[in-house]
Amino acid sequence: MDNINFQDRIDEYLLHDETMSEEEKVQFLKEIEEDAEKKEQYEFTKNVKQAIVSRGEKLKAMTEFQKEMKSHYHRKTWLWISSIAAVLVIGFFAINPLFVENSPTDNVRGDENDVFEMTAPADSIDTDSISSDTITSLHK
Amino acid sequence: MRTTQQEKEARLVAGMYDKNRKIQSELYAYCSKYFWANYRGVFFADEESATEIFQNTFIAMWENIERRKIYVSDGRVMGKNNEPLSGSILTYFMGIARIKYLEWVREQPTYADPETEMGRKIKEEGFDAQQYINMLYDSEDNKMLDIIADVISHMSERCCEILSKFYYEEKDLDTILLEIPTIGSKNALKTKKHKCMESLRTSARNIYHNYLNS
Repeated sequence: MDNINFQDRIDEYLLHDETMSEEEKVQFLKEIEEDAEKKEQYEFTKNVKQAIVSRGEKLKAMTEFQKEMKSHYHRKTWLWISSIAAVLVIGFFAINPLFVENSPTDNVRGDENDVFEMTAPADSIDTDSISSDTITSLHK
Repeated sequence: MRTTQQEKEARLVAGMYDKNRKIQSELYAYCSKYFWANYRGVFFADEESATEIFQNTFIAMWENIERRKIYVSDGRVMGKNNEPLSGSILTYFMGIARIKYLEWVREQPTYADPETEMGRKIKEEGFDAQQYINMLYDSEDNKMLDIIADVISHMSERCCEILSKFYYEEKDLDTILLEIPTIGSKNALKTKKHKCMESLRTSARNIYHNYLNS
């Protein structure tokens, strides 16, 4: 029980020394200097506190590093996806005109001037639009 | 002649020591990628345990850098006896991970898988305390702090919770009692905390004595 009570005093000194008067602090330090076992307990607690604080801070930082790693990975994935999409879109527009220019004309009937070389039917009259230029003749 | 990798690692270790937040994060990612790509070839553990081993390994390496057990001199990462590290820091990192795995297997012996390199070694040779001591406790000053830091990493979950809340978050017993309702009273919590400290002290003392005898 004495051990537990002394542990309370060590904790008080290490964690809340602002609540102790200068006199109490001096008395406490004197006590541990005079008793090897108490000094060992004090040094041990000091090390435990230091180790736990160091571990706690590192774990906290590592949680942040892990988040950063994940968001970096997501950013990278999105960058890849957008790059691939951009390449596909640019590729489509680059290749498309080639297809239009080289499009086959086999499925179009006749030649370019075929419509103007039609022979007028036998029953056609002079003013038929097929055999003559109707606009010019009307002006005449 | 230094390689690009040696230069990169020297930059990471130096930045870690200088508490450069960006470089700390970079070193974490560097070790993490290597660990998750390679740990299965070295030892067998489920993903949750492997995560715990990784965390404890990274903390141990970080503390080794803070205490200058590994440091940078003339652009090279230096280790024990002021000699340059024989391999990369990733090899050093995996060396600590192996030791953390050995600790973990000691606590859960059924996991020593004979199919992996480490599993075979454990089955054939048992646990090599000397290797453990050399890797983790070779600093010149305050070996007890090194030992305590390591023992804390495999304390029971409950002890870890109580001591962290008390010494790291600096919460008083009344607040901790509210946060851990499974503990019935303030006295029970106080006794539990005391037992945790005593068990930590006993383990640390044993390792310290082994260290002195070695």
